[in-house]
Amino acid sequence: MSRSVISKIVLGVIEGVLYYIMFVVIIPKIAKTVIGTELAITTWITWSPYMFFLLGFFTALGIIASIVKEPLAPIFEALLTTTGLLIIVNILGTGVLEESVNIGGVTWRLRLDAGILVLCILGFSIIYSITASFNRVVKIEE
Amino acid sequence: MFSAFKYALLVSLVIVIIALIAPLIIFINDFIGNPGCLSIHSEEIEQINEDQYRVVTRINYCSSISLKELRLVIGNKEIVLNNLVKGVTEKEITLTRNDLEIGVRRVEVNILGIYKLTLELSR
Repeated sequence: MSRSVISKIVLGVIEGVLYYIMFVVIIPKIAKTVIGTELAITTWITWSPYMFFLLGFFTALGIIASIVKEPLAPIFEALLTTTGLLIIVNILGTGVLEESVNIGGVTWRLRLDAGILVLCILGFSIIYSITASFNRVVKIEE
Repeated sequence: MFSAFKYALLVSLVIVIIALIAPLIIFINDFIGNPGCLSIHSEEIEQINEDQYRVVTRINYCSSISLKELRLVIGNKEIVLNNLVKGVTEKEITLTRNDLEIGVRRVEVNILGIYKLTLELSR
């Protein structure tokens, strides 16, 4: 039992490191090469104590969800995805990007509303989490 | 059954995200390659009375991504163009001397009807 728990935690950590490399290292680098501007996701995050709490809570829930057995697993899975959605909303907000730009020596205020993209990601995530929970419930019944 | 649905959902999410982001990346890339991709010039063609002028506004746009709605505020006058495509678009308007002195204050575009981009002169 303890061996499988440790292996799950190790696998989780490796998965986390891979996600970190993909979203914090590779994607910003590709964005810089393709569109010429830095697209560092880490700079969008406001590192408040609340954010640290959310990330810690999310990690803990992830570990618990992978360790516990049915019928508790779907509950932790649902909690995990809800916390994940909360983190996404905290980072992306309403999908509005505001920046000051200098065009021809004059300062302009630039505002890009990409709310539809955020809604799309959230919508898909909600459907995905409901499906994942149903999947676990069906497994219990089987 | 649910597992297959989950993967189908992930694949469709990736396709939808690519379809949504691609126009924005092309638009940004066109502007990085050519900073004057959207240029607006006004030429006075006739003086109507002491204060009012008939002006032709020439909008030069270089990107292949069409803009569904362009709102242009010159002084206190707002001009709306419903569909701006690549090339030169001209529109005749009446402006006051005050509008001409103030110039362009705000540009609002709807990139392909998906993203709203606003440029406003900072005070």
